[in-house]
Amino acid sequence: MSVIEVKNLKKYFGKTHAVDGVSFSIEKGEIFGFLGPNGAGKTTTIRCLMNFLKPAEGQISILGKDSVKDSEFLKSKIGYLSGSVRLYDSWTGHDHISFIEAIRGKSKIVSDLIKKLDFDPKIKFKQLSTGNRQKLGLILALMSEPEILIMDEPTVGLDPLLQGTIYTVLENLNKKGTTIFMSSHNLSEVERLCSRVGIIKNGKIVALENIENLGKKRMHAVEIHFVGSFNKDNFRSEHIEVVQELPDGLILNVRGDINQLIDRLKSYPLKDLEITHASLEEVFLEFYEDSRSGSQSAVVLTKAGQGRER
Amino acid sequence: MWPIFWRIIKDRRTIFVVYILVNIGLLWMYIGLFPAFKSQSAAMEEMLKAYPESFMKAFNFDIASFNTIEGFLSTEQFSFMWPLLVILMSIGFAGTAFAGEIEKGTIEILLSQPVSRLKLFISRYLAGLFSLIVFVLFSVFPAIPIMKIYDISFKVENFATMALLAFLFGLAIYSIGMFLSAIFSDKGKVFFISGGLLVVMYVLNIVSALKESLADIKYGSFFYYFNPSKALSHNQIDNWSYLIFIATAVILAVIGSIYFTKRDIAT
Repeated sequence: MSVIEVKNLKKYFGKTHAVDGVSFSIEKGEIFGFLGPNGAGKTTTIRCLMNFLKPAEGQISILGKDSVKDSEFLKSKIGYLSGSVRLYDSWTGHDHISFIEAIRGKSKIVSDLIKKLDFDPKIKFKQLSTGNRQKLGLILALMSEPEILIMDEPTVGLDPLLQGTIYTVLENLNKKGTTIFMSSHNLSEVERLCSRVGIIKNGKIVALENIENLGKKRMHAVEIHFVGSFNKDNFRSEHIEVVQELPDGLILNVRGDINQLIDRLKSYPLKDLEITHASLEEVFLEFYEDSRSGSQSAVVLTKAGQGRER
Repeated sequence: MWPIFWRIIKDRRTIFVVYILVNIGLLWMYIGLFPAFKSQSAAMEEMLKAYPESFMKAFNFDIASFNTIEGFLSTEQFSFMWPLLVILMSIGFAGTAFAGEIEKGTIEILLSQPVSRLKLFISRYLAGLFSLIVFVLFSVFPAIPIMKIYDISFKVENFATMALLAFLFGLAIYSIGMFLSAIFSDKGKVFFISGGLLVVMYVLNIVSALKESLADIKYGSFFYYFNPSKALSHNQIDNWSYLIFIATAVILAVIGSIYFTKRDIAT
């Protein structure tokens, strides 16, 4: 059963098509990563999911209910963490927690969360560091044990130690059945936590796949060593890019189906051939190559699967 | 809904108490000064007779205002300082209710809770309304014990009428503020537009009294319908005052709530 189902979501701000026909669905118990650079439409999509913004077109269904009409009911099932946690300056952590409890009911896990995240709830929000503000935002999102968590860059600006703690908290929640939708810039975080990812570019979904398949299907780094002479132009195509010429071979980036290259290689005796799947970071950057200016470097694949600049 | 209502009351209690204390302080000062003014009322009346009639009308001076405490307070307190305080308090409250929260980004924590936008609007509106009622009660009726201290005779029913008129005036201004706060995402705009509107209304009322050919523009001003002298000295409120203030409050509250439930909110 789809817990979140987005169909042809469109949201425009004047002439800007912030979200332009986005569709995806998320199953119960999934951790879904939503990737994209600034301005791609991630936050707008999340705000539509939360009914902060009204879709221009399309439908959002959460737990089988309409996100606009049944917003009040759905909010009781959703825990939300904003990209930049902004709360009341003069309130302490306790004040915020009491306020949420007054609306949502007494929390059974808030003390445990405070302890796990090593948070001091007696301090006023304006005196908290960025990391502690994020901790408080997370406590408020999780304390009512929601069925669904929607988070906009949950670990942005946090140190690796705290990131690790948050990953553990999220993994434990997911094990208990919580469905998690999270946007992120942090690809290692997405690789660690998410089972599936959607990549959004210019308001459109450009990839929507199982995280393991994404790299495998989409990009390969290929290093070829030929026995004899070879013509590098035979390997150039729309999907194959010659990254580097070696004395006896080539390093190529292959997008899409690898069989096209394998067919061409059949006519050449080979000394050695190495094919490596792209990492998520490389796939991500490949999707965004177009949006990078000409003067900026584009990332190419190496056989070690590490991005390097040219 | 009620946690949001009580929380906003709790958050604003300090500033609210300051407003009330400032108002009581002013009330005490004017009541304390009244016996001295009354003893000089004949001279004051002579002095005021020198002013043009239109000027007296424009600034709500009643030539007999120094003879009774009701007339004195309606001219000194309720025509100048009280409207200023209620405008500052109402617009300040309304500006931060939604526009200020959107500007600061704190609205997201409210919008992500299982409370509909309509309930959110109503809870905030009621919190302001509650504050206004308490402010009106504490800014009119403390006059009674203070007048007793100074052994000044007064008519209780006139003060009740004044409180009602004050509430209606405050309600209309507060509703303008809440309407603007519901449609804008920047509290500065709420303060600027509502403040500007009230300044224009004040000027309209004065100009209409000073220039006979422009007499009709007074109907476009709240300050024409807010007549403390009539309420406090003569125990009267015009039917038009009821109509204008209540209609403004109801219409703007309804439109504001509908707009707020349908609008995009991005922080």
